[in-house]
Amino acid sequence: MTNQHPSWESLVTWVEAGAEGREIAAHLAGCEPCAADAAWLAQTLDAMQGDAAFKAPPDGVRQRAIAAHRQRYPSTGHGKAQRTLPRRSLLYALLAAAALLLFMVVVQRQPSKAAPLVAVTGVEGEVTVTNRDEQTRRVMNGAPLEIGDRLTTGEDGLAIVEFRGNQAAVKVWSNSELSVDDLVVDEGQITALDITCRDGRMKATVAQPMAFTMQAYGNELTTRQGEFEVEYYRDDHSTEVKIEAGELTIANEAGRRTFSEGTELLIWYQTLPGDPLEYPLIYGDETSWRDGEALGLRASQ
Amino acid sequence: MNNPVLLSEQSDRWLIEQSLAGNNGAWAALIGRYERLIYSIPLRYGMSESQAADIFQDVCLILLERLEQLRDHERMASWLGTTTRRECWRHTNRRDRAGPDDPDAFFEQQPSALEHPEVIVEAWERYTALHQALAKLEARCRTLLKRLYFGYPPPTYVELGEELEMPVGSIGPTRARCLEKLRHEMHGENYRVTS
Repeated sequence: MTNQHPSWESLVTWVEAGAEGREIAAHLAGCEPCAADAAWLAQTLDAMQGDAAFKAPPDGVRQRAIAAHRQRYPSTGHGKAQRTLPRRSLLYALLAAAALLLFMVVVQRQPSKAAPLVAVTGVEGEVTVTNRDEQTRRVMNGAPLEIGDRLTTGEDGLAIVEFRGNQAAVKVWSNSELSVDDLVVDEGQITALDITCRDGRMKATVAQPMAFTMQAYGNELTTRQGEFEVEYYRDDHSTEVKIEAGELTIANEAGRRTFSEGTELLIWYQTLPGDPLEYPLIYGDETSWRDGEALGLRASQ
Repeated sequence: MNNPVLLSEQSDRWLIEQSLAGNNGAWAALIGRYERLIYSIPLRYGMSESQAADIFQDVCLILLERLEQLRDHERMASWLGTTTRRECWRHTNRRDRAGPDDPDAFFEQQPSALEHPEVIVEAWERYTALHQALAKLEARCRTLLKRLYFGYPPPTYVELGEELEMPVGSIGPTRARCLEKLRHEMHGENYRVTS
């Protein structure tokens, strides 16, 4: 065994090359920590290369499984699995409802300080908000956001923009910018929400049904309910979208198409020969990442 | 104010509660979390994609039926692994009408050694941990690792350099640093990496 530990980089190269190289092999035989590093690398690279071993079901199959829940639990939220209340409990429930109604009537007569419709939570590092008058302030946990405000996270910044009652939330990673453009409230519930992802990476969760729209780098992303992540790549001006729950409709110059959860997309712009304009291309999920079908590429006139 | 809701970061228990309350997004997130595990088990047992699709549907319906009972279940993946294996047996038995009555006996009689669901579940957990860690990496690292290791054949460093606008000489050291970051994401900062 040689006394000199191999560098991490040389260990990576050694594992990639199929563990050929006697000097490193001899060292690993007598160096438990280095052997553990090599074992981790081998297992991880193996897992990456065997990625298809855990294949996702086709979209149609997944959608049928999701639809089964909709049939069982229609939008009222009362499914077969929910127990019917015993009669005495029903009486208590009615009394409780009456008390709550009375309480609400009393409370509504008092001048109240309502919870903000939009608030910033989970603040870490540098997070600032710039209002319509271009005044910038640092924000703390619980700070409200107004329509027209732009939230920016610094190098070490992280924040969650939460919409009333957890109806929707957007996690904003570092070096990102989000603006709240518009929202519609009906009987205390947000029914429509427009935001813009101006830079960086964010994940939107729409927990309750609403008309949710996010503008992101020339793309309009809309959903009724679900969860998706968006990230902008400055290097090649491409946008990555991962749909983790629900359906997401993406519209841009190339057209409009709806994708379901589990789909990962890369959207970027390509200049056609002899065409000064750029048109967006959307490539499908990861399996067809490199040579997937172009979505509605508009031919140059 | 309540905690923010990020479906993919919620516990199984939370997603089950929400699914029971009629939240279809939570149910979709629950399916999304385990769909690769459920769908892969019949495929690993040598069944066709159409059989795997049928079994996937059956298992999802069983899950939907049992949501209330599974509310406090600690190991959802194990339960799904065992349930999926049982459905593979039922499916095969229904087709052949001649198999043993017990799934364990059936799987022992198979000519090739089939993996026990617990082994598949462990591999799936590693797969999931890997992808969760990859998702936390900065975009450049994630793209580099995916392009280098996930596709076949892998691109040459020259191709990668052009694609990612990186000097060819920096790709090797960068990919090693990205793998180091990946390991920290998976195991924490204290995990040793050869210096």
